[in-house]
Amino acid sequence: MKIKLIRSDLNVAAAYVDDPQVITDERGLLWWPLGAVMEVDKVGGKLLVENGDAEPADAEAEEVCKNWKVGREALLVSREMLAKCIDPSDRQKYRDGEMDNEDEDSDDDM
Amino acid sequence: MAKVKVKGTVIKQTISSVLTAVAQIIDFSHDGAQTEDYDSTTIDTSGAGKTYSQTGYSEGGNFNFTAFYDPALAGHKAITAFIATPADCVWNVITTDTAPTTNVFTSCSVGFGFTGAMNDGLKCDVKLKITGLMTYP
Repeated sequence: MKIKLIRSDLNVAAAYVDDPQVITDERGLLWWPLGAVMEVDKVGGKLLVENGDAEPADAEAEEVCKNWKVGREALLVSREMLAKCIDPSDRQKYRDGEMDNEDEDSDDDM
Repeated sequence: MAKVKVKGTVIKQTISSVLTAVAQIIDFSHDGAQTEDYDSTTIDTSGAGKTYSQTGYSEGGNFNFTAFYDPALAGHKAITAFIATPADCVWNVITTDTAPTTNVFTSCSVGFGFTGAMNDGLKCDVKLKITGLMTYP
């Protein structure tokens, strides 16, 4: 089955490093570009769709992931909060639009 | 020189074609990495001190983390799936230093449990046994 990635913060599994879509950054890390489409196993593909990382990209994937659109908006908000490192205790504030990013009082290096 | 914040550290697991972040982790630890040695003392070793030498192997140790457990979350399901279907999995630990540094390891087995308490959220404890060695910067 095929899926399409809907995030740009996903690294590449070892079995896919030769895929021509793969991007290598200046540190040598491998990334999937937003919108990359690939053939995957059913179990893994379904998990990625349900995790908010991907969408079905063919009829087989639609069948395996049926009902994937149910609750999708909330799922994608949760996935974005994960990417932004929003603390679980701050999630309601994020949902309510009271914060855009984590750690606004950041003071990283000493 | 810097003191690296833990907040913002990302732990990624391989699911099919990608490495994606594990959600809701509270704390993590890496332990047990150890060079292996053997007792090389002989009856004609001089002095009282026993001697040891390297075997040439090293234990990779374990990587452990605790998370707020969401049984319905696909990323957490991907971890518990290893209990029913054991398999190797490649993980990344991306720290918040300026690089940032990515430490890579492969788990060969997974320990999983969850705990609940009246005054706390549902939590899970995950213990990953590392096969080979973690890559250190």
